[in-house]
Amino acid sequence: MNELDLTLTAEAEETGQSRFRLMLKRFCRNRMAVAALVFLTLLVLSAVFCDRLTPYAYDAQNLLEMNQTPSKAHLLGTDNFGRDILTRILRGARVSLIVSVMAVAMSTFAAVILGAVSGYYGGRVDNIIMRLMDMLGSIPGMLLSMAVSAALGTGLVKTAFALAIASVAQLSRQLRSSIMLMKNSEYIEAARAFGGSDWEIITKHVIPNCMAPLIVQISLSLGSTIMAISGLSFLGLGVQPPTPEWGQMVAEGQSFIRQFPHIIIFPGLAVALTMLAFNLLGDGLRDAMDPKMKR
Amino acid sequence: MTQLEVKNLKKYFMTPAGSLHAVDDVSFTVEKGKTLGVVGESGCGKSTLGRAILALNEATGGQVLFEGTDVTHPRGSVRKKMKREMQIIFQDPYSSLDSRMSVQELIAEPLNITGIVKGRENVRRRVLELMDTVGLASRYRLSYPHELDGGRRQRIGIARALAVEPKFIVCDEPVSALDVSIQAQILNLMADLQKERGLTYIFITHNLSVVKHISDDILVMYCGCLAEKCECDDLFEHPLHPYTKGLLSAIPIPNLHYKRERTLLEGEIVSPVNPAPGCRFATRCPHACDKCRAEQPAGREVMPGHFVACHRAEEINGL
Repeated sequence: MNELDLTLTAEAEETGQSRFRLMLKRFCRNRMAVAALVFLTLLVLSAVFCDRLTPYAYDAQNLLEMNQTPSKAHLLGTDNFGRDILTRILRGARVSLIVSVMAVAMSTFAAVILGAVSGYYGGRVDNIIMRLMDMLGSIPGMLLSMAVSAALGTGLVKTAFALAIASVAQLSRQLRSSIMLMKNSEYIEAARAFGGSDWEIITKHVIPNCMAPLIVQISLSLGSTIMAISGLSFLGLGVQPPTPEWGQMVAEGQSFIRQFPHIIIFPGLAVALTMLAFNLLGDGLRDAMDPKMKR
Repeated sequence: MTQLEVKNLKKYFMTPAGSLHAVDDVSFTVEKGKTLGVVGESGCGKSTLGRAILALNEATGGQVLFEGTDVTHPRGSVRKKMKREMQIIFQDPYSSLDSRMSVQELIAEPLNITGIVKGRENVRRRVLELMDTVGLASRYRLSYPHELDGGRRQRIGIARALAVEPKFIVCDEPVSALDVSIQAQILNLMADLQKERGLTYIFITHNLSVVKHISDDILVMYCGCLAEKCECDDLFEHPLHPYTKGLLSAIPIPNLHYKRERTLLEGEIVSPVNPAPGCRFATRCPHACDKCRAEQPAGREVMPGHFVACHRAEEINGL
């Protein structure tokens, strides 16, 4: 028994952390994912502290310095009202990140419940849920978001809701199919043989085993939601001026594209880089969380 | 003492082609502390029988009595009690373990679900005891199943089944996914555990040498029905059912010069979907008569303790 006690104490220090540490180790081995994480962390930090990072206010117009190309004073130049583009991009990140995180949280929450219920129970419940999702899915996502946000009006939460609705159908369908594959596996049957309830089986086996595809999907959705917010704002349905948003900045700059392309290149680049970073992060997380991956 | 009594158990599956009779009217009893071997070819309903007994696939008809309690469709407290007393060891030690859980978590799962051991420290201690019981070194505690070989994985499966201290275990081909040297280890482990704890086994297999090694009684299934059930030695020495004879004559004998009479079975197995009336084996049986094709034979006790489902058992065997 002595050896047993020793191992117990040794284990107490290990458990809980050992797995997370392993995951971290595997994640760090993926250079691109780490770079993406660094980029996103910087983006979040600069979105939070954007007011202190640059000497300009995001809405301060300076008609003497209109349409300036990048210089020392204005690192990314100024727009047609003489506002500093860097300041506006950083401030715009705040909106994009908040709205996309809210939208993805809403759609993931709904999709996990809908997908788990319809995939696990099957039969009539599955049929009803999936036909409803078909109805949602039959309308193009962007059109649906536009219709919903036109009906609800603009505002952070309303825009997030409009975007969430558009992605629920796809996400819940994906979850349902991975759950259906899994529900007939022997380890689910084994858990049932011990008398495990549906709740225990869904929360302990079904959802954890769906985590890898789910996390990749969350990461991808964050990226595409940022794109969609920009799209809505570009069309004037998303974030309203004077609050800057990347898509809206592109919209404002589009009439000057020939003379001053930098006005729309930088906000466009911000959208593209952020999307890329979320995708790379998702890939890295998937590889790190799957214990089947070789160490 | 009779521990398990199965009465006219039926399990039908609805398929697009019709009703598939996976287990059809099977009755038998198992004594406490004994091993019943269930043999038959692939797809004859052995595994379905095991799962129906444990109510993992609830039976379509018939009854399962465990120590006198009806556990055919267990609910509430009966279900809770039953899941602790009756367990299963799965065939495939790869798919029956959740690959996201460490050995420790896997063995702790039944303890947590049933709640028989409470408190983190107690669970941990019990897990280590169980690992010791099944011969898994404690250093594998934090390993994941994919890092271990088949034999060790099956030991995890056995530890999981033992965790709830069952009285009865259905072993669903527990060694058929393992290589021969590991098979022997696992079989010996299971035999030791039976001796120590007085466990009752239903041992499902298609490997006749394994079943001979481990069983007290043997039940031969053919196409969802009982063909023959008797004591192990009796079956190998005096098989009465024509199918059993064919099955036994197919066991390879490692002797080049040994000549024996072979009972070759010809023809195809009948489809278990909407089966025709009559004996399922009639299409392949060398002794089939009109009665065999018209009427399904029930299991009869032709000799003490020796059940055969054949109309002509006495006639063929000169009893």
